[in-house]
Amino acid sequence: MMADLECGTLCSVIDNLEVGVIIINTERRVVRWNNWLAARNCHSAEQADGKLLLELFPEIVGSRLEMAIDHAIRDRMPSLLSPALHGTLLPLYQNAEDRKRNRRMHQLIHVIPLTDAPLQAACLIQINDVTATVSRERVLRQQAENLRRNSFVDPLTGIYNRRKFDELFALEFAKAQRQQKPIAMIMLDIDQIGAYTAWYGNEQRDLVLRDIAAELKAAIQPAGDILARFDNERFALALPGMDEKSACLFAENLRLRIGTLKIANESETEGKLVTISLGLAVMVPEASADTHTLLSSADVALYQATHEGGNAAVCFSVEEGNFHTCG
Amino acid sequence: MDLNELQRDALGEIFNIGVGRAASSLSQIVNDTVLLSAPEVTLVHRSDAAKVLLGSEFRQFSTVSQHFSGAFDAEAMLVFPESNALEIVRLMVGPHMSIEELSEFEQEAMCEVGNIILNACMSALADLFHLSLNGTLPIHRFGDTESLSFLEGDEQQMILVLQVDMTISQQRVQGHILFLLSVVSMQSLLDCLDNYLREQGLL
Amino acid sequence: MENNNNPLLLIVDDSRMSRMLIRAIITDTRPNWRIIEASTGDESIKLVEEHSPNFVSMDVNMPGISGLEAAGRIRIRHPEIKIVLCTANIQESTREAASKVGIHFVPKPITAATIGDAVAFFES
Repeated sequence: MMADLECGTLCSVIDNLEVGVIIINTERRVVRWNNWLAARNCHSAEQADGKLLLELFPEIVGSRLEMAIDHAIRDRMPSLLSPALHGTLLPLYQNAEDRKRNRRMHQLIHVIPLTDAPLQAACLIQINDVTATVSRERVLRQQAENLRRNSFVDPLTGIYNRRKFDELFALEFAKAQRQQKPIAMIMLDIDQIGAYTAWYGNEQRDLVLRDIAAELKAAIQPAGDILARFDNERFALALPGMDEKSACLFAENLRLRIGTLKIANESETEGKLVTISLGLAVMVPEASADTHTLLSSADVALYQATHEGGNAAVCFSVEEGNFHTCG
Repeated sequence: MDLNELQRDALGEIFNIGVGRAASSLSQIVNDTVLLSAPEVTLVHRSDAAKVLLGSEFRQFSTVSQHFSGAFDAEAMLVFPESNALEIVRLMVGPHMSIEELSEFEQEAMCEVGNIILNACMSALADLFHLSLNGTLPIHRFGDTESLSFLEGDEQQMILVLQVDMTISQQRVQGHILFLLSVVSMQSLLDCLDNYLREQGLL
Repeated sequence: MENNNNPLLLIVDDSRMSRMLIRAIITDTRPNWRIIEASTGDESIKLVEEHSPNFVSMDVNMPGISGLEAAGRIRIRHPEIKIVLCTANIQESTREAASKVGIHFVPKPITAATIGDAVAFFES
């Protein structure tokens, strides 16, 4: 029988703590095994007392826990075994039901050297049950995932994302169809964004995208107009109720407005400022019309503006089938 | 104060033994090949350490620190750029995780990785020098270069900087280990080192 | 192609301290052995061709090609040379793979005991 640890009141405290406590001596034999632990695995304090820890838990031979114990006893250095990397290292169960189903608890284990030589206590192993935290994290993660799927905002710019744009645009298009009112569609992008990024880097490019988005947002009607990040490079702007002449003026205004921001662009050989190109198309949708036609028309107009040198707003007239520069 | 060639060589070799052992431990956890090497040791003043770290476009850091005391006092810190830390966690915890999940695990996993590496380095030193050192449990922190605490404080602090190359499952990740010591502690460490070299008949 | 009958040991390690240590221990226990040194894997391969050592003590962790690779290359061309790998990082899988090709592992740090182990392997 091992000599009992002389600890009186303290032993009572150890035994009643709401964490697992194992104290082992330099021979790696158990000197203390508290109630919390006894209740959660198959060894009682009496059974564990004096036994080699590796005898009680043969599966930890060669494991990080065994090495951590060596580190504590030999080198007097404490170790941490995280649930992230080890999960369910020891055979501990929250209750009989879990034990039946072999569902171990998630454990956070600290191995701490004790330096009280006369007490024969060389090392403290503290075990926390973190199953609750793990499952709470799992719930939070699921909620975050749901939120992400239901979100409609582009994280960088704060304006609508593509998914939301598609949804809102479809609604407005259908309304315009019903009411036989015009709906204008503007596609725009930043000129030579690739060269800008190569010169200034990704983070700077992101800042410019954010600033331009903010400027565009300030320019539109918050109630009716739909501004969105269409994809990595393009913005989309739907303007229900606007006819072609007004939309053209509006597009040209946006172009000038971004110019007034005077964002430096050393990668440009001329002008040295960040500019945008815009493509515009307007429709009074027929009963048979669909959103794609309007989108492609605006896109083609944007293509035209870009390839005529950029820094321009071009309108594609769906009826006449031709391009003209706005302003 | 500076390291002479033999001292630099010896410290380098000792820390390589330390990180080598750490690699063995880590490979057991990951169940895959882990290689760790510390190719370079330099001794700098606290104010120059920032340059060493900043010289490599890091912005956000993941750091794990432990304090050691005994024959000398040292604050040991494992520093990885945030993106590299996430990469390490991904390699250790599993490739099937999303970024959100990895970020959650990062705190604990890096704590343990740091614990393994720092303990191994210091115990290699303690073993070879026949010293007794006490260590504290690891603390993990996120920060940018401004918030790294070692940048403030006593001008007189010396910092041993080790570059660390870690390869897990054939993916290579780089970081640094820093040991912060007062001038007095640094001198103690160098005295222990010289004693060791003398014992080995190399001095 | 030395005429000398005494065993020739090649010590390969990028740490000068390690090379000095191994040399000191070997000189102490086997004073008749001749010793040459290399600090990289590439240099070691060159020296093997030039001097045909009997034994090689190789550090695993070196800049340039690793000690494992250098040992492998030496082994292919000179299967009669006995090679010992020194490393602090002895993973089971590596140890098994190496023993299959007759390469012996010795843990770091370098001590009289670990070098004694290497010498025993060389002379077996």
